[in-house]
Amino acid sequence: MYASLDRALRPRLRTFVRAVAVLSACAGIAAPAAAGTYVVGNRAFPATPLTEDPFVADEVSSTVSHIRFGASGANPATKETEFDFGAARRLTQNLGLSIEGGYTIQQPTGGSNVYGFTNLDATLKYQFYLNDAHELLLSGGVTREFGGTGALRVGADSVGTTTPTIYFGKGFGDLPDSLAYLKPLAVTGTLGYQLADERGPARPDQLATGLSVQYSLRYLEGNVKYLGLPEFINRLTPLVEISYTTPMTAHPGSTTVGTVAAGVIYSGNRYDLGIEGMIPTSGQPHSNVGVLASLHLRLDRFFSGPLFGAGE
Amino acid sequence: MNRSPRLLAVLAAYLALAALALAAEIHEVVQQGRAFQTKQIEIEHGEIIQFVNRDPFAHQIYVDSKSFEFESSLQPPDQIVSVRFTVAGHFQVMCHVHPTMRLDVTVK
Repeated sequence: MYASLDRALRPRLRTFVRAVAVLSACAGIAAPAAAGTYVVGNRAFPATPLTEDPFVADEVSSTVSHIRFGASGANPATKETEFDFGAARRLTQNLGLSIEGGYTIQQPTGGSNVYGFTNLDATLKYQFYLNDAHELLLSGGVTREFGGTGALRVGADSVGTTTPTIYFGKGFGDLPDSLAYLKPLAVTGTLGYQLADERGPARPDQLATGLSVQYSLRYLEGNVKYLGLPEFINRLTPLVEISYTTPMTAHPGSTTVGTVAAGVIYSGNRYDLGIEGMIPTSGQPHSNVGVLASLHLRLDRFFSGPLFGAGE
Repeated sequence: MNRSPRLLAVLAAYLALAALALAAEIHEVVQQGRAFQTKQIEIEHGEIIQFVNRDPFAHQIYVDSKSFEFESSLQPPDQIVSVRFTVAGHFQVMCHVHPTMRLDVTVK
């Protein structure tokens, strides 16, 4: 794929890769990274494709999405494919830094393809509450989107944003035994307020929310009742995810944008592989169903613990 | 004609090794209540630990160290998983299904 890129784009790709490498080195990692299975009590939360994970981890991640937008007004039908790459490193046991960037390909019907990078993001996240008995995890963090690091032609904004966010994860293993088959259920979610660098018409402030509802078959086999499912099946976690952003300040043309995704995560011993079908639910009329796939690869094999201080 | 004594020697060595293997002590560790009922154990190099699942749900066994690795598949109730520790050192036996389960094994 690299070889097929237009020559004019290659210097930008090299610049992006170098920027990722430098930021990664600053975070104490040698290669791009993001999150993986995280344990609270008997609950192992897998890394989800759409919803930001509530935990900090040492990992690299990659997400690929493909969706077709139907024709709308003067805009022709367009296929959009996006590749995102992330890297995450624990600075202390509960404090983590991650960076993420992406590359978008837009293919309008009857028009020329448009390529470009998305803006770079960096997130500092702190896990401030863990409760093993109730499988509860709470974190707080700030995400900084660096405006102008991506390409305007693919919709990357020149105005940056800062988003304080609350993250949560809750397993339902503490339900009474009369509801035993609901114990494998878990939810994770985020609630953030995105503040634009420039107030006014440039970019609105937005409320950003995300939620995943997941059912762990491994938790069912290992904590509720052994059903003798095949090894492949008991590593699966079916899930549904919902993501919404809603403008909170006046901005012409801005509207609530939502996505619902449903699929499954396969959890290997050192990775989570997710695949979902996704449906835009608002703000994007005439859209068709898209596909989202993600791989989160844990790096605990390479790190004995967080960058500073002792691990568990 | 010279092959018979050599064949006998190989056979004898094989039988001796098999006898040694059979003579290796077997230690039993019970998994119950999402915990190993033994928290630490000391064994000799080459000995076997048998993990017995006494819970009504599944367990799993793994060892992940630089010198020794083991990974079982899901272990149904009442099933026994045997692990022969072939390397001396200190190891942690854990369970992917119940991440809080830990058994410290010292192999002399």
